[in-house]
Amino acid sequence: MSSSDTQPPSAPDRANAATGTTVYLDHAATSWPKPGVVVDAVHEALTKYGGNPGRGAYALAVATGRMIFDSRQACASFLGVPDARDLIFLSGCTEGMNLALKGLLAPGDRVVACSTEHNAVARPLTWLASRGVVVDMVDSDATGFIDPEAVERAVAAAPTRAVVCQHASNVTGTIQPIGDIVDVAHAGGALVIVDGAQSGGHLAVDLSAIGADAYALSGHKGLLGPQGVGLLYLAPDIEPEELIQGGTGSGASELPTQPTARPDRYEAGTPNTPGIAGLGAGVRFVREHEEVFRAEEQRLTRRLHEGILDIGGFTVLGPEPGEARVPLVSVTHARIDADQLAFLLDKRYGIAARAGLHCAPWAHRSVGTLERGALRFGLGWSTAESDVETALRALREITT
Amino acid sequence: MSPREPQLFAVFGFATTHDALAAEDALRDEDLDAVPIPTPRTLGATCGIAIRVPSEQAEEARRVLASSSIDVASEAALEDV
Repeated sequence: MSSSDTQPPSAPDRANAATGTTVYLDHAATSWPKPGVVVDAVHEALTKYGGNPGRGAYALAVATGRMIFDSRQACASFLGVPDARDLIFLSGCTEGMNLALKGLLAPGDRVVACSTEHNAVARPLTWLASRGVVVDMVDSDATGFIDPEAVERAVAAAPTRAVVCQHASNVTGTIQPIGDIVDVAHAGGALVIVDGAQSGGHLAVDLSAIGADAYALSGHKGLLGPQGVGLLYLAPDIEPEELIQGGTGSGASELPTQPTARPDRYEAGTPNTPGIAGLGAGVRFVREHEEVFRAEEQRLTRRLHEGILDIGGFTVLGPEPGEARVPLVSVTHARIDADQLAFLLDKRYGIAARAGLHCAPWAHRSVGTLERGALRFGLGWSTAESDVETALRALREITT
Repeated sequence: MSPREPQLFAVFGFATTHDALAAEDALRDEDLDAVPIPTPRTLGATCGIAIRVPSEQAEEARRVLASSSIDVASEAALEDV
């Protein structure tokens, strides 16, 4: 492996000539750039093998099946999943949450949801509510934190089929006490479905220790894979209905019913082979460097957080500096709207940051920013100190 | 030229490609000559890939697979063409 594969690229390497972006601070939306090993893995899948996996048994198809097998094993090992067959490749975390929610909840069931959820949860729940699922909410505090005791009370209030909660907020960066939430939900007889879009790669995620019944992850954020691929863990003892049926290359092809064996039951249709190749490479890369990446992400996130507060006029959402958070910092300014700030950062400084509601109006309502939205900086494996200092200088120049 | 002696194989079928490839790994880890092949129709409802071993390794292969977490969906004897 060359040094360019193992080290974050320098700032000039990350300058994007096509867009003028020189400082990328939107890792919470998607990580960029991708490591060279991810690019290479996608390229190899597209050029050196890539037969339809699990269908034919000729060398190109077996090679693709082998790559998917190896990627699944790598992801399972990284995430603490004992049996890789319980880890499903899907198009992303959104599909994973849809599968878990719609596959486990039926009309008449009650689900307890947290007020900080992303639209990947809010919209499926709204759809389910229109079909007779009862949705009750647990409110966060002003920092976006969900109190496990509040979850416990909500579960105790009425028979509950499931609790759904994020592991970390894409708006406030708040890390939820997910293990405690799982414990109180299970004690009350409820399943637990977790949205792990912001946690994978940025936090140590051990699914055996967490104990959730379903846990969905984005493949293209902290796990550094390409867009269009994600993961869903399903505990061995639950059997959600599959969202779609179709060819799997397995089961009795002459029968019209979907096979029940995992992972095939939930992976109908030709899989996203290049995406899975890239995700497998991304997970191996993260695993190799995770201690360095996380320490640096946390250090730079704190520097950005404190630096923004030093400028004045800003409110930072979520936990205080030094308290646990995933590597994102969302802010509002007393005078200038978030969308204007984002526009000026992009046009004047080539800084990519995201303004608005971040597909999470529930979360913004919970912390009081639904009307104005916020400006979010998402840090990741490629973020350099100079990126943070450039952003701080730009914010100071724009606002003072 | 005398006709080649037909070779006999044991063929194992699996519910999924994942299981078939896991079986290939498990068998090769025990130095058995496991080869992925297109699943013969005689194996019935299994995935598109089956794993073949020489018939003299069949007993050892059954032992290895039985001691793993891999479920063998079906088994057949196959004569090489």
